[in-house]
Amino acid sequence: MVEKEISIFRRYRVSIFAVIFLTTALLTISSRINNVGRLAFIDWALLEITSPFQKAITYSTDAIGNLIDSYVFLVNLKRENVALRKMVAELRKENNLLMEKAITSERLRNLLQFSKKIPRSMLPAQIIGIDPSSWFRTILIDKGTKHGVNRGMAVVSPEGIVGHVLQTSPHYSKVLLITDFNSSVDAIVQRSRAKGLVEGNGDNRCRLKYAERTQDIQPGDRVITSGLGGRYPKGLMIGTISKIQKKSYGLFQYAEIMLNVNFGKLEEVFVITETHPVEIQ
Amino acid sequence: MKKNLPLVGLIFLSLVVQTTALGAFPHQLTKPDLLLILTVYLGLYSSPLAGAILAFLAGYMMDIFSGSIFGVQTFSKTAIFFLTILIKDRFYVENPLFQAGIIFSFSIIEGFIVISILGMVSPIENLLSPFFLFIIPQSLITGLIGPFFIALIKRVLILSHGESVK
Repeated sequence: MVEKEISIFRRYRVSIFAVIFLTTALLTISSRINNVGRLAFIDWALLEITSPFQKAITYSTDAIGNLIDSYVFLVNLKRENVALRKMVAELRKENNLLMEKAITSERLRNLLQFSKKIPRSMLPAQIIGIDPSSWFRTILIDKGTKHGVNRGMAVVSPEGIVGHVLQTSPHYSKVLLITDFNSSVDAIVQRSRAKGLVEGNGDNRCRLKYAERTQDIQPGDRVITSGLGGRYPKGLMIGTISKIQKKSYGLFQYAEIMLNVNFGKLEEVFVITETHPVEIQ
Repeated sequence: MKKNLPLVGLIFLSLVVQTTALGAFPHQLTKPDLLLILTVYLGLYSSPLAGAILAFLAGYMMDIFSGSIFGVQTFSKTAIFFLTILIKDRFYVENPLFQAGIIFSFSIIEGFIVISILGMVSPIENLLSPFFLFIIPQSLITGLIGPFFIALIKRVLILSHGESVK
């Protein structure tokens, strides 16, 4: 009898294992669906163990890349130097202009008592890993709850917004990029003040959605954060409108956005650890 | 158990490489899925129980470092492992062309599994666009690298405990 049972088990063991393991995997999905931001103990323990190795490899590959940049491309250095000097002169000129505008803007902002919207502290963080799958757009940074990073905090770079903190462990955090399918940011077109929602496309672009079709949006327009929702401070650069899709019917128009941040070359980011949410009266 | 430790190490190492060095892959949107190749290897050469545990672990580790819904990679990797077991006896698995073909096919199937789960769970517009954006390029790259990576896995296992691999 027992031998018969064993032989039945042997015969169907692959099917039995398949049912057990696949059901467990499905139960994992089901149990985590409503807790996207929470990491179980085992998850963050594995994250903490693996991340130092990622950090080491990232530093090594960066070092090798820098070495190649420094020596192999030395031939083009002189030409590049001339071009860069020219660019520096132009940027200085532009910088002076922008500084003047920023001072004026700051004064007006103070007058309007909007200063509370400005984030007070930013924490620099190094990117030590990227999403292992090609599906999702996340990065891993070397700062966690012990450094004051919490779920939902905005992550930016000097070029513009990067994303927000999705999950944290004591020393590391996972950041959902704005290019991810699940990401959305409330935005305005800088020139015309047209409002819309910027959603990730899964690749290195985003889409401006739900902008009323009567609003003035043109290719080349800059898109910035609106500050609504409180996650991102107002006025951070998102990208530039590259294409507009306006059908002859419907309430809204859509636009494709070329992002200001080059995610392929991003190495360091800033986590906004303290923000004052915008309150809509 | 002891003989599977090098495979655990390989899963760990593949994940670290996949989340770091492979990020600099020429086509930034896609990179070869080393853990999928490892899962197919497990399906071809491991016992059903040990292989299933390791495939589950590979997917679980990917889920920890990945965004969005937790468990999607765990499910897809485990499913790919059992699909490999289902077909392995019908082919000559040592042929590198077969290995490239099976990895390419399973990468596409895995893509459909992920799309299906995402479609069921979250409302994403135009779910088929990732097919051309990610699945096809990733499957091609993974399929091309597959036979070489399988040969490397075999070499590492032989070196780790002098065990002859089937």
